Amino acid sequence: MLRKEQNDLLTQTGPGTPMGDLFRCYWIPALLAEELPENDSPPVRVKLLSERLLAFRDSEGRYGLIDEFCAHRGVSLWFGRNEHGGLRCPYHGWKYDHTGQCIEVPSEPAESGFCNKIKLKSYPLIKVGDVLWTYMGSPDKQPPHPEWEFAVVPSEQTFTSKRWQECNWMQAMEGGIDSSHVSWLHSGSLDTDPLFKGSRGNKYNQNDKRPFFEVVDAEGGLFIGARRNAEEGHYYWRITPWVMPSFTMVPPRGNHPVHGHFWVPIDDENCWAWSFDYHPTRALTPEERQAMKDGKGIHVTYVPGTFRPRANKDNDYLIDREAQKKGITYSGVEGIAMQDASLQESMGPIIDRTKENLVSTDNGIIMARHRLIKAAKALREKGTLPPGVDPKHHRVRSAAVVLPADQSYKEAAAEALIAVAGKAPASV
Amino acid sequence: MQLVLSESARVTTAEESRFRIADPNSRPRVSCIIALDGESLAALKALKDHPWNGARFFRYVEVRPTSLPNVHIDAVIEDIEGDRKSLSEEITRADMVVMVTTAGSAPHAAEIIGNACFVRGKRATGLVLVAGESGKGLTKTLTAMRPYAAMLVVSTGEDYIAEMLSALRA
Repeated sequence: MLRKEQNDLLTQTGPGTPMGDLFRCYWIPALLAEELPENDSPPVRVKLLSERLLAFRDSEGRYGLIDEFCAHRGVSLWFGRNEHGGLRCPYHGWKYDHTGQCIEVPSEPAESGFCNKIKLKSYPLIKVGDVLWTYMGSPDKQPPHPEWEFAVVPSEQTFTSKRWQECNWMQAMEGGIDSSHVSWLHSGSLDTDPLFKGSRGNKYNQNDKRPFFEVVDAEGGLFIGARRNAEEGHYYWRITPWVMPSFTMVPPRGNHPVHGHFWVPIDDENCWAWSFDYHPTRALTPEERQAMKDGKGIHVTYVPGTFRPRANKDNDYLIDREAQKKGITYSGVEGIAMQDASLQESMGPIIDRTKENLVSTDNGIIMARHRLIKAAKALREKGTLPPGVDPKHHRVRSAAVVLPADQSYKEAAAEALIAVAGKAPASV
Repeated sequence: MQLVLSESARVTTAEESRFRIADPNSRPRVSCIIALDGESLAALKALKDHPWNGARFFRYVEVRPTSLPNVHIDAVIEDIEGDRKSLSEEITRADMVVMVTTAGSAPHAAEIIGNACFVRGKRATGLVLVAGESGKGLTKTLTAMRPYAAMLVVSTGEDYIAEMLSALRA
């Protein structure tokens, strides 16, 4: 349960809000690189943290993320012509470069210097891996570039997708650190999904459906360990890192690629669920890559031409009551991602947490909220840089390990939880 | 063309949220929070005046022998005012049991409280406070508590006790 003011603080990320200020300390995923596939390709509307922006790639390959609307009469520059080193408004020809600087106002004499006085708000946009990242905070506090392992491994080892989720970012992200729902909502997928099935760890999962949990503070956020019985005197641990503000990784299974998420607010009632799969030491196979494109694992298929999942609230998530009755799917919704999203969206655009009744196994969620609120307040009151900004916090991994009963996972699996190039993941 | 909104689309709007039932959906519960060492007792004492919903704060005192040889499932505990109580009675009436300790101690009490919860069909939560990230002696404490706590939390901040209890409506 949260008090209303705590819930408001966590869920509001527009300009000037405490949580909005917190998000503006980080490099966050803005677009897939494939959305701006070539120089002078069409601009793309981007809404992030309740700000309407426009992304484009100019004639020299420079990425820009600028205010969507022309400074002249407020026309959307989405209709603009991306040509000759800038984006030109089709209404009266005002032209902007990738920094939002107006470089041409055709109606005014060039010598007047009028265009120098016009500049749209802009943010840096950089390519790391398959993702274009932006930093929406003060330029003088721009942190080093992101170093998440999924983004820095060779491209043949990684796959990233994104989907529109129609609810507040926080209730979506809380699903990523709520390990106890997996045994229910996603039961069945371990046996059938090509990106999950076949590992020895799955057997531990299936033999012990009431895991115990250990939540441990970490420098960048949390580690959440789910413990199940393994062979005599041993536990099977699945360890999920959460790095502030909204990065989680699912523990691996066998030699399957490892996957995880970012949840990025679009506005207070919508977010982007970013989903990645990668393998630290090998290329993804054609079959794995195809399965990801086909919406398997944590990915989805789309309404053509959009990032809206094909199963969405407008078609009741294609719920199949017969499949639910037969136990093929537990909720009747197909696919891990939409099983989660359908329930999270059903809470309403922003869940009222004053009415919830948490139990002790929700401690991962309770602690994540606590860390976020604390960091947002420390940032506002003392200017303290929040955890997760430092790239060393990015170099984490999830892990699945079998340990003797007298060992603590945070120490016994300490090396496994650090991303090191070329090092095999700890997986069972 | 779809002319009518699906039920899921219609009912998940902010406007529809206004029609959710406003009545309370839970009744007050009894929470039994037990400090296993001196430092954690001090932390609990600092919380006693918060507006709790039936949370009761204790410290572990000593094991209480039962008719079962070598199986300890009862103990003497003491509330913040210094009144001694029976662990088994307090656990029986509790909806939630939380053990609080600090890293470095290897609380024998965790086994007794854990067993007392187990025989009464309750699951205990363990909260371990550590001074730094690694917490000297943390492994020893976790190993001692692990078999008896369904949820173990390791926090570097004492302020988390109040936050957790408040979130759990204690």
